[in-house]
Amino acid sequence: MDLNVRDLEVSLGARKVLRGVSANLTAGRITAILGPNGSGKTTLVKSLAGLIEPDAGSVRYGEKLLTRIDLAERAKTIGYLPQDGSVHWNVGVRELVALGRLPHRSPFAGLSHDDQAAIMMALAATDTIGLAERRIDQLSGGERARVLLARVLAGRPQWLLADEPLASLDPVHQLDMLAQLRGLAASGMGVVIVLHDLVQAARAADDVLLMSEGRVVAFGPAREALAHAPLREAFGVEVMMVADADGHLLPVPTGRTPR
Amino acid sequence: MKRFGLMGGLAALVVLLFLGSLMAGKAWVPPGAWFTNDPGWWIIAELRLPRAILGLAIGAGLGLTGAVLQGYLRNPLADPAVVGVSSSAALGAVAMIVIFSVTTPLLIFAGAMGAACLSMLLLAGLAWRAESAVAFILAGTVLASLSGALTAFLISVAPNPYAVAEIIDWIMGSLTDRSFAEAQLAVPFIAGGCALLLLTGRALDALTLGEAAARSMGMRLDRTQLLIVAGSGLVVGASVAVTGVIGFVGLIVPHLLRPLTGARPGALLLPSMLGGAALVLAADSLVRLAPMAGEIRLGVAMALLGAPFFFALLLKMRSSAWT
Repeated sequence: MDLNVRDLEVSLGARKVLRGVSANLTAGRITAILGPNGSGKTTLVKSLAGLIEPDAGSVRYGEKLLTRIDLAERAKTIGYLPQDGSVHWNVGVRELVALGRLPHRSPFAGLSHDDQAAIMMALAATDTIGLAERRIDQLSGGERARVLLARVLAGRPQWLLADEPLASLDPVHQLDMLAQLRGLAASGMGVVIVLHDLVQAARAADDVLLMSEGRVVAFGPAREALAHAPLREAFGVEVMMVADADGHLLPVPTGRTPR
Repeated sequence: MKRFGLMGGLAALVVLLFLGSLMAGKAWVPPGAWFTNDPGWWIIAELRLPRAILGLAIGAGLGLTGAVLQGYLRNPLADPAVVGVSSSAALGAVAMIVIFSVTTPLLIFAGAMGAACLSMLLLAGLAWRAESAVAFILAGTVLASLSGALTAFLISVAPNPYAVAEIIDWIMGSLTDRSFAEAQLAVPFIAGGCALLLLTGRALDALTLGEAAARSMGMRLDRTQLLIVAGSGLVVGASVAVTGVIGFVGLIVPHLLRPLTGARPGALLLPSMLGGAALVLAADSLVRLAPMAGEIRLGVAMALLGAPFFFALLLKMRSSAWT
């Protein structure tokens, strides 16, 4: 089912962060959210995950208002990968991935066969089976990012909301992570990622939601949203379009837009 | 299987230390003298059994509270003193002694529990709906500082040196001369508090990934915070009310057990209960056996043990991201 955002207004303290955001995010596609620092990307993702109560407007999962869905049910449906990727205790990789099954388990219940199967599938999908017996402090940055993704996937969510999943990854691991996200979208999962890199967004995203100062500047297929005019309005930069071997038009920033 | 082995080992240790604490003291009472007309059996039945029961309950409660607070605050240095309930309960008891000139255990207990409940309500009010551990720590620090200052003030205006001596004796923390009456008062509150704290395991596990991730996994952190405030208030309030302040149990026990249970906070709760009970029973038996005219106070012994441990922990944290 789709995630539908309608006229969303959110304040953090006295500051208005989202101002009338509307978009219909489609399952089975990758939607990249882009915008300058402080444009409201993380707040939008948290709102999509139901973590922030809006001042006005709504987020619907199918026909249901997100805020009306039972917490446990919502947690099973929407997987959220936070920006900071913090792990406060030096737990084992398998234990960490098993945390993704918490919404599915009754209090005091151990891991069921279904839980074990979901954990193994998540480890396999992120190519981290070989890391399962290690502890978090024994992983590289790229391995850690994959394990954190596995934690979300172990919950078998319908939607994956990932806030800057490529941050702190080297180019090879960025490409691997994007390939994994593409595979998830191809399997029918809705994927929303916050990105900063225009080129990565043009290559990986089906749809792009471009934001500036809490408003939507452009929303639509990547090729249309990542065009000269919307990028100029959102970021204040000029871009040069370069075609890659797959036919994607990649916007490469060349300088600030003259005032 | 490893977990069952650990739990079985800890449970056996607690049973042995419980039996040992019945035997140990200035007068050694061997099992052969139990359930007989031997005067040693009277010592056990009237003096050591209530003391051992209290040691078991208080140790279990403080160990569990420490494990829960460390998990909730994601800080290996957290212990029950952080929430300010220990010092609030101590203030309540001291106020009964100084202001109302009370010396009966029941009224001192009522004063300590009343102050603990009041501090719980204040803590809940100050940190309510903040969901953040930082607000919780700040509120606890405010309570601890205020209670400590008011306790010092009451001691300074105590009407006579006997009251001061009584307060200082009580604040040092001890299980000496505790009776079944005190055990009956404290144990139900400690058990109730432990039951509330044991409900927090899933949320503590989820908090390993931070507050936003925990909430996205369906955890209600406001509810978790209330369980922790009420649970730790009941456990620590009732403990302080009957024995005075016994520190460091909640700090030390989770640390000793973490290498055996793994770092997941939820896995540490039950072992910390057993470990806390074992530590207090062992320490209370040892202070009785010290070759002196009187006993070393249990609170003093735990502080002497805990302070170097705390220091070693700080040194270890300097060289490691996690402990």
